Amino acid sequence: MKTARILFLIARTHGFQSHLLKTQDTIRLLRTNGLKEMIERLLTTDYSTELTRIAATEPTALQLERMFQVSLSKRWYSMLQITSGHLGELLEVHNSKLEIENLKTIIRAIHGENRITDEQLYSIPRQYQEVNSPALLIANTMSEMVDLLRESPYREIEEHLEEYESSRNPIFLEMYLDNKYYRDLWAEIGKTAYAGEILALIGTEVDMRNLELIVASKYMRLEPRLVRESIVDLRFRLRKATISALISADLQEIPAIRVWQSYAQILQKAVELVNEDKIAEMQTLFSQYLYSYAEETSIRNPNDLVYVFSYLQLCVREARNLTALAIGKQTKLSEEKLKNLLFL
Amino acid sequence: MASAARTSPTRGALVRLRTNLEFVQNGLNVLKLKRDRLAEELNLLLKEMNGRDKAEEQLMSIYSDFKTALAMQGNLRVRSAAYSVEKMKVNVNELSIMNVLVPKMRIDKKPSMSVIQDPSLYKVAEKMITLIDEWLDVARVEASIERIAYELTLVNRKVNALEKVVIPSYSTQIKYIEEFLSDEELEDFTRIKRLKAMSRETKT
Repeated sequence: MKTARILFLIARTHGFQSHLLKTQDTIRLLRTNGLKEMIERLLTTDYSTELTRIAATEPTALQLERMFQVSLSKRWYSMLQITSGHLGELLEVHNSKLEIENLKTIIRAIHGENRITDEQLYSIPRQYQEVNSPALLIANTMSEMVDLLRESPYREIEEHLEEYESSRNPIFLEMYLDNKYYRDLWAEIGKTAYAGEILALIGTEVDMRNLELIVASKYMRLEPRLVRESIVDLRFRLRKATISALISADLQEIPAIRVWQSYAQILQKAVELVNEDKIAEMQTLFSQYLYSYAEETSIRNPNDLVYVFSYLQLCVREARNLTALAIGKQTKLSEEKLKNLLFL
Repeated sequence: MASAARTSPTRGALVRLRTNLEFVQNGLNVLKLKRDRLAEELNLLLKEMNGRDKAEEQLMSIYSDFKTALAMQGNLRVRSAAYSVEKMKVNVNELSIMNVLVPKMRIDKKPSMSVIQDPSLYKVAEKMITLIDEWLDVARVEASIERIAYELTLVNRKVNALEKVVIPSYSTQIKYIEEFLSDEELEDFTRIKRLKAMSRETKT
């Protein structure tokens, strides 16, 4: 029996989901004749208020992208305002993904000795910020940044500093953050009474991330040791032995390795795309699988808590689609090429 | 030449003008040698410029890949990935060709692309870092051509000025003084002859 709090959250999510763009809307946006027409069409959607705020002059793709990211952040964090208790904590852990992305950007900037501003970060409401971003933004060295994270939930990053310093590769710090995120989320989901489908959704996300990384590593000729370090340490439909076999195999040997049937089909297609040097399309394939899975889950489980998590995934899909459309329109990418990059 | 025009038609001035003319002619020869050497260098550099078309073609192909990667990842993610790449270190020295300083570039440290985790961005970055040598070379050739061509114009101008203004003016002056001195000599000779004749008449 679901509690009233859960039922309320699911009911509200149904309302929020009705604001998301339908596939037909995305296709209509794809067929527009440029950024200007795209903006005109967006004025009839949920983005109209934000658009009127930035539309004093004709907005650029960069401004639009920023707006889509802000909307995504608002959509994710608005869920926290209509829930509380353990459910709130679960969603807070889920949404910390944006903060982790921000931390990764800061790590990269410090590593490359670049200075960035908060414009380059996802906007996170102050009450949900676990770290002091303004201080992190002015940190000059990695040890300074690690010091600033000492009082945060990411304090264990310190243990990976030595590895970073010896390899001069920020992947070791980033992987700590990713692993922590997924481990915490996994543990938090496990505490709910309706964990099954949610774990399947998050597990699919992890599997897709790992599979994409493994296929990409063959193209990028990454050392197997580095690939092993970059794998999210959670198992869903990929066993440890399977992952090891995939990491050790050559690109052409990947389709022969036994994996779950749906994954086998994606891997086969992904290898073909890498062979054709269509790397962006290969990446789209894995994300497309995840978003399709989220959409199917939301259709199959309209009254379950997983519906909320599917909605959160679909918000990301919409933001990525709109970003691709805005940039594609501004850089005059062909309709066909742009369509291949969309998650429809 | 104004200074030459003012020169008084004396033997001393003639010697000075002849010395100057010899010096100017030597200078002209040196400038002509410099012009030939620069023209030769320019021709060699122009041949090297043929590589630009190929480099441009490759750059456009990379740009197309970049547009795809940018559309897929978005500016925020692309920038985030780019931040991790360390800066490239290029050593720029100057090389003197006939006193024209042309740049000479050497990449001291290429940034490692292994820190980029996104494969489509890695693809673009990897291609770009390979092409960067060619583009640095194109930049070196273009800068050298620009500087040599500028110097060549100056040298040409100087050669033309010497050939068409300075040397003809010296020659005219020398000719004028020579004629003047020759006339003077003839006058002196006639005068002496006349004086001799007059003295002979007085004796008889």
